[in-house]
Amino acid sequence: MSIKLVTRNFDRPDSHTLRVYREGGGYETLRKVLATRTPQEVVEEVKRSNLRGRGGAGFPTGMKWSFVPRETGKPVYLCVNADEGEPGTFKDRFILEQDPHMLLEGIGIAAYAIGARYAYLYLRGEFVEAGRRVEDAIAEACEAGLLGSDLPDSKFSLDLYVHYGAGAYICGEETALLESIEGKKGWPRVRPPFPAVKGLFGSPTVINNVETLAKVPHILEKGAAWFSALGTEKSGGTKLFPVSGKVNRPGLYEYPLGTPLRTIIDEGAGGVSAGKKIKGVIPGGASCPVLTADEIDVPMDYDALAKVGSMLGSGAIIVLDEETSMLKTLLNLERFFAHESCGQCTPCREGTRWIVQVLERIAAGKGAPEDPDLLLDIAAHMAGRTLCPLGDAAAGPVRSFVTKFREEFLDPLNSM
Amino acid sequence: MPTLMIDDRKITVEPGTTVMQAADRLGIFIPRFCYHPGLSAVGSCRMCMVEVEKIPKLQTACTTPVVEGMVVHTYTEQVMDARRSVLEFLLINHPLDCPICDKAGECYLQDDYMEYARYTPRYKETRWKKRKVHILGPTIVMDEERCVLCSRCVRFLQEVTGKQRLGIFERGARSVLSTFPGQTLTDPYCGNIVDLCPVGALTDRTFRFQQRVWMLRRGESICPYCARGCNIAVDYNERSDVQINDRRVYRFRPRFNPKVNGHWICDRGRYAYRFIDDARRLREPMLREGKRLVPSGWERTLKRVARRIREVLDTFGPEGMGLILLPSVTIGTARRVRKLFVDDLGLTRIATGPSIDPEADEDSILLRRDRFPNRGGLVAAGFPDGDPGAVTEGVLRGWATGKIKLLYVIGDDLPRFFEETSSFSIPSAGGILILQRSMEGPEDDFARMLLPSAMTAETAGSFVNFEGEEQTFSAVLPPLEEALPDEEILGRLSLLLGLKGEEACRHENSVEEEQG
Ligand SMILES: Cc1cc2nc3c(=O)[nH]c(=O)nc-3n(C[C@H](O)[C@H](O)[C@H](O)COP(=O)(O)O)c2cc1C
Ligand code: SF4
Ligand code: SF4
Ligand code: SF4
Ligand code: FES
Repeated sequence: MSIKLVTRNFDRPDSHTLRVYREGGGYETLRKVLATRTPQEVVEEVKRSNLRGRGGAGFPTGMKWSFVPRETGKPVYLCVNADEGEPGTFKDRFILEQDPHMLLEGIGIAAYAIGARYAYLYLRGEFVEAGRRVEDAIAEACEAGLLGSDLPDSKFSLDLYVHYGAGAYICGEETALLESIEGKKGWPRVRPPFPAVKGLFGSPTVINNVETLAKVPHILEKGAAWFSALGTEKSGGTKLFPVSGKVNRPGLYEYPLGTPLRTIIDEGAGGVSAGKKIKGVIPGGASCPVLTADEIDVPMDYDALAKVGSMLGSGAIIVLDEETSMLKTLLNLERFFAHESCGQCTPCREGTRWIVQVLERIAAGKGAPEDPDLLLDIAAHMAGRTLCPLGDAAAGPVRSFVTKFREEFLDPLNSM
Repeated sequence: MPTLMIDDRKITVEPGTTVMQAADRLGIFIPRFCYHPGLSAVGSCRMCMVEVEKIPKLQTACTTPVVEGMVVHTYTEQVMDARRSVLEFLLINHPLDCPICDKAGECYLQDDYMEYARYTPRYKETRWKKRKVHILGPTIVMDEERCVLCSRCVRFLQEVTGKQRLGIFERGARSVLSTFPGQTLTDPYCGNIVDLCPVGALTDRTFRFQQRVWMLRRGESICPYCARGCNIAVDYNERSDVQINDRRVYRFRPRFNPKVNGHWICDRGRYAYRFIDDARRLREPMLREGKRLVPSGWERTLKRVARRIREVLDTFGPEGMGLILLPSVTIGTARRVRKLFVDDLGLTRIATGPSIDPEADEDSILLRRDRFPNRGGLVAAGFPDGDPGAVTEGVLRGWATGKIKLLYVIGDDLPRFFEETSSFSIPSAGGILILQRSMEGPEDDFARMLLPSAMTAETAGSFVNFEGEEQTFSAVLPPLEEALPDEEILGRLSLLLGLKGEEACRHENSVEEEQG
C-alpha cells in the first residue's frame, strides 16, 4: 500500500512555498534537533533507521555520516546530489519542484549531524524550473532565519550554494560531481581516498541524494524505529518509484521498501497499457539488469533485487510490453551510456562504443551468429574493471538483455 | 612498515606505498599506460590490474595502497585476461600505423600486445577517424588516432610545470587530447611529454621520420647547458656518416636521477643534441695565415701555440698572458689547466667567466641561471669560488689595452656574456688570441689559432653541479672529425712546452697520435 512521506504535500496547491511547508509543521524538526540533540545523536538515529542512500548504491546513510573524521581542522562539506539524469528516473526533480523545503530541512539536519558549515546543491542544469524553486526556497528560508549564517539562538549556521551542472550524466557520480564543483572536467576520481576523508577541495565530504535527504526530517520527527518498520529488515522507510513505459498511469509513486514490483505496476501505475502482456521490466533505472515477466513478484528492496541479479538503483521502473523490441531497447540504453561515458578509462570508453556498434549492426540486419556471445564477452570485460560504476551500469543491461532475450539478438526481423 | 607478498616475494615498504611502487622495487613489471612515477596516479587506463587475495575484483596496482599482510598476484589467468582485454579495447580504435610511427620499437602498446595479447581480432566495425596531424607547438605534433588518452601529458604540464595547456576534450570514445583554444605548446619543458607519451601520439617534430628507434644506441651523459647537470641519454646512430651530412645524435632524453633532475630535462638541454654534429662545429685545428684561418693539423698548430706561449712568457713574463677557463670543462680539464698554466707556467691573469647570463632565466623546476655545468668542479680544482664577471672583464680589459699579449680561452659560449664580440678584437698593440672550443663563433675572426674541442657527449669526465653533486660520465661518441677532448689537447700542449712530470695523456677517446 502506498504511504506518503516525501510526497505528502505534492497534491497541495503551492506545495513548494514556505507557508504551505510550515502549515504541515515544516522546519519544526530542524528546530528541535538543533535545540535538543547532539550531532552524534542524530547520526545514531539515522543509523538505527536503516535509511539507505536513494541515489542508486543504497549505502547506509547513517554509516556514511559516521565516516566523516572530526577535528581535522578542515571544513566539512555536504554535497546534495540533484543531478538526476538516469533514463527513467524522475523522482528528485519532483521533490525539488514540489517540496524544496522538505529537502532544505533535511539538508539542515544532515549538515548539523556531520558538522558541515557549507553545503553545495549540485543541480542538473536542465532542471530550470527546479532550480528556480530551490533558489526561491533558499531565499525564503534564509529570510525566515531558518538557514544561513548567524542563525538566531543557535551554534549552527549553514550556507547552501546551488551549482548548476552542464549536461553530463557522469557528473551525478559523486566524485565527478566534486570535480565539477571544483571547476574541473567531470572525471570520476579513483578511490581511495574516499570523499568522506578527502572530498571537495580536499576536505571531508558527504554526498547524498535528494531523496535520501528528504527522508531525514521524517526520521528525526517520528523516530528511527517507526521509519525502519516501514521497510524491510535491512532497508528502512519508503521509496519513490518513478514508473514509465507501457503502463496506464506512468508517474511517481511512493511505497515502502519491500513492496512487490507487481503491486507497484498494477496498483500504482494501473497495469500494462492496452491489455498487453509484460515482456520485461527494468526495476531501477537504465543501469539495472532487466527482469523477465516471471520475475516481477520480487520485493522492491536492495537485497531482494540483488538476489535475482538486478538492483534497486534509483527505483525507476520501466515496463516493456510484449511488443517492445529488446534489441532496440538495449541499443537505446547503450547509446546513452556510450554518449555519457566520460572516456577516462579504457574498458568503458571503448567497450560502450563497441557494444553500440555491434547492436547497430544487428539492428541493420547484418548480425552474425556469434554476436550475442561477443556482446556478453565485451560486457564481461567491462564489469568490475572500470574506474567508476558507469562501466558496470553499461555492462549490466547487456548481460541481462542478451542472456534473457538471446533470440532477439540473433535475428533482427524477430525484434522489429 | 607494512610487509606484503607479490608473486611469492616478500617486501617491506613505507606506509602509503602503492602495489605498483612495491612491485617496481622488486623488479616485477606490471604493464601500465597512465601511471608514471613522476606524476599523480589516476588509475584510468586499467592496464595494471592485479589480483589481491581476499578482494574479489581485480585492483589497479597503481592506485592500491599496500596493507600489512597483503598477497598480490600479477600473473594469474584473470590478470592476463584483463591485460588482454584492455589491449583489445585500446586497439579497436587504433590505427595500424606502426610502419610509419616514430614510437614503433619503444611503444607500450606494441610491446604489450606482443607480450600479453596476440589475440585474433574480433572487431569488425568502423574505426574512429580522428586528425592525424595536429601541430600543438613548434616542437610537438599530435596524432589523435594513436592517443590512448592516458592523460600523462596533461598531468605533466599541470603538475610539473603548473600550466594547464592541454586537456582532453569531449567524452567517451569521442575524447580527444588538444591544447586549450588559442594556446600552443611553447613551455620550456614540453619536450618531456613526447618521452612520456606511451604511444606515438605525441612526436617530436625534430625527430619525426628521422630514424627507427631500433637503429639507435643509447649512451649516457650529462647535460652541459646549466648548473643543474641533468642526466641525459644520448641516442645516436653508430652507422651515421657525418661526412655526408648525416647526424650521429638524434635526440637527448632524460635519465632518472632523483638527486639531480628527477625524471625530466628542459627543452634547452634537450634540443642541444643538434649542436653535436652541427655545421658550426669546429672540425680541425686551424692557424691564421693572413686573413684566413687554414686547417693545419694538430702537430703544427700545437707546436705554434707552444712556441707563441714560450715567446710571450720569455719576453713579458707570466703577466703577459691571460687565460679564460669557462666552467663548461670537466674537473679533469680544470686540474690540468691549473697544473699547466698556474703551477708550471705561473700565470696570474686567470678568469673563469661570469656566473650570470644576463639574458638567462631560472625557474623552480630545473633550469639554473648559471648556464655552466661545472662551476663547482673548477673550485674543486683550485680556482677561486665565484667570478662575478669583474675578473673576466679585467682580463679582457688587459687584453684590450695591450697589457695581455696572449689570451687563451677554453670553453664555448663566452661572448654571449659580453655586449660585443669586439671585446675580443685584436688590440692595436697586436696580440695573440687562442680559442679552444667546440663551435664556431663571430670572434673567430680575431683568433690566431683555433683548437677544436670535443663536446660533453664526446668526453669523459665529471662535473660538480650547483648543489655540490659530483657526476661522472664517459664519452658516448668519438669526437667529431679532428676535435679532441680538452684534457688531451692540454696534455699534448704541455709535452710540447717541454714540461716534466706531466702524465702521459691516456684519454679513452684519444685519436691516434699524429706522426712527426
Ligand atoms: C554514472 C553515475 C551517475 C550517478 N548519478 C546520480 C544522480 O544523478 N543522482 C544521485 O543522487 N546519485 C547518482 N549516482 C550515485 C552517486 O555516485 C552517489 O552514490 C549518491 O549520490 C550517494 O548518495 P546516497 O548515498 O544518498 O544515495 C550516480 C552514480 C553513477 C556511477
Ligand atoms: S567507467 Fe566510464 S564513466 Fe566511469 S570513469 Fe571509466 S570511462 Fe569514465
Ligand atoms: S597524447 Fe600520449 S601522453 Fe597524451 S593522453 Fe594521448 S597517449 Fe597519453
Ligand atoms: S636544466 Fe640545465 S642541465 Fe638540465 S636539461 Fe636544462 S639546461 Fe640541461
Ligand atoms: S597504470 Fe594503473 S590504471 Fe593505468
